[in-house]
Amino acid sequence: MMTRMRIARSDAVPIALLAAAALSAGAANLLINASHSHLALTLIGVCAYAALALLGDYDPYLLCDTIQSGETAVGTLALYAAALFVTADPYFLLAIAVLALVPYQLFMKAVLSPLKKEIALSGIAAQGIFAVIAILIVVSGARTSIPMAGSVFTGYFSAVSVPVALPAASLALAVIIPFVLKTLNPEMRLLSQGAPFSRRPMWTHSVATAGLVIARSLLAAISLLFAGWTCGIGISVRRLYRGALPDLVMVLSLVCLGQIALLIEALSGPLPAMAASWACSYAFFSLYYCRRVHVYDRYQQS
Amino acid sequence: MIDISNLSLTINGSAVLKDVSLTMNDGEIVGLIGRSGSGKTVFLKSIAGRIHSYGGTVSIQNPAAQEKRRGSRKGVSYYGAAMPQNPEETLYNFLLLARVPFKKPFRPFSDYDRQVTEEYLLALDLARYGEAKISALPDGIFRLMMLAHTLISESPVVILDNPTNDLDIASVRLFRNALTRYVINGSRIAIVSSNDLNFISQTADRIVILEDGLIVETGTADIMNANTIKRYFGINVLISRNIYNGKPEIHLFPDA
Repeated sequence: MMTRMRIARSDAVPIALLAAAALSAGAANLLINASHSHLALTLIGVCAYAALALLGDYDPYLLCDTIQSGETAVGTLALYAAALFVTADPYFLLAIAVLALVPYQLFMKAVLSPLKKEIALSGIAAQGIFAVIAILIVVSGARTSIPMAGSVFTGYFSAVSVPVALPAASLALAVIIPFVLKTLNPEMRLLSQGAPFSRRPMWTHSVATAGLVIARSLLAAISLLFAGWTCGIGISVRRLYRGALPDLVMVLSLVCLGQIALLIEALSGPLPAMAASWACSYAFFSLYYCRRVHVYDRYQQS
Repeated sequence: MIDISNLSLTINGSAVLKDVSLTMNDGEIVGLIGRSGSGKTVFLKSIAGRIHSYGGTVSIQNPAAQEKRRGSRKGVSYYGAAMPQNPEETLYNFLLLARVPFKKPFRPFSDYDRQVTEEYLLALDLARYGEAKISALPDGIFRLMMLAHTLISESPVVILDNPTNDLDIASVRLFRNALTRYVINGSRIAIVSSNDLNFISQTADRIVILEDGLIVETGTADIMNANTIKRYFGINVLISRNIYNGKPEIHLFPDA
């Protein structure tokens, strides 16, 4: 059944504000001569992150953004290590980022409880390791040989030149993955409730879980490589927003934060842009967890 | 019909089921009672195909229920302690998901799927919680939802382990009515284990008492007398009769 999308008055205000903020930040970026390709390629990361947030409907492990879960830190470490010691080829970098995120996701699924704060705590540990390695590199005086190393935080592929096919393929994946999952919506939603409810052979559950892990890793890697750390608010905003159009608000929020981060990068450098994105991400994450109401013990947060 | 023959199960060197044999007929509600640790849950899980390492045979004479799949037996619905992992789902959507095994991939739910879902939504008085997320449901409503999810699957065999836990008296009545209707067409079997002896005596067509992995008594509700309760539960009770159906009701004596 087709439903006509109508924007309620309560949704119109935040949508208009976010759109205005995103346009203003984008216009400011253009005024200070930001690269058009950089601005455009960042949007591919936003699309990938929006697709990743939509996976949350089928995967209860996706309760927090990739910054809180530590995936961004793990992906960044893998990206630096790969670029320093293995290859600078963008296809390989994407593949290596995905290959680093798959085992981390499997670790989350096998060891951590999805409904408690274990994933967020694991994410803090991953970020701690990342920070220690970064400090050691800085203190030792070693210079990284990665071109535009700082731009990893606002989208490495947006800052260096990449073959046209790579952003095209990444955008296609960001559109196709949620579309395929949408067509299998009831089946995937039932599988997300756990094996005892699926009443299908166990291998079906395993295949679906593996598919979700690969899809999430792929989208997280694309988002990291094209938009860096600037997208880490999507899942929190989508869950926090109580209006009728959480997906639209989420996408606009991502575009807005991405453009503001690029502006900060242009004015102050990549590290302040990353710090601002990180702070925004934890602000929304904290707000979401503080506003969650768990009257009953079944899904009580520890 | 379910034919269980010489069902045995040993867990960690301890025999929890000892040559259990039982036949259950279509259209029957079988009530399973016994002390905690008597083997009720493992017996039910063995029938449901969730435990595989048992000896003996469990034969279900229904084509839909006979096919065995890893992790469960197709056509057998089991209500136990499993918790849905995605608390963001709404109650109505969660119930509708019980019809997923009956729909083809890439196809929408049929009108019949929605009709069955709405029927149980009304039968168990859950309609007003339809749009509530399952994480926000009170325990009693959550349990009713889980029971509705089990019944909506319309399996030939439905197995319910302690279904009345957390239910208030009105919900117990609604559930009992829904369960009676579930088997009324004579082609389904409901197996219910409960520590609520009054619920079992008022609901079950046949009662099976399990002790230390053995079936020690089986019969109609009339086997629920003071001697039986004393023998298998170790307490003195007063038995009266329900004035509407004549079935026994169990009353505890106040402490001396």
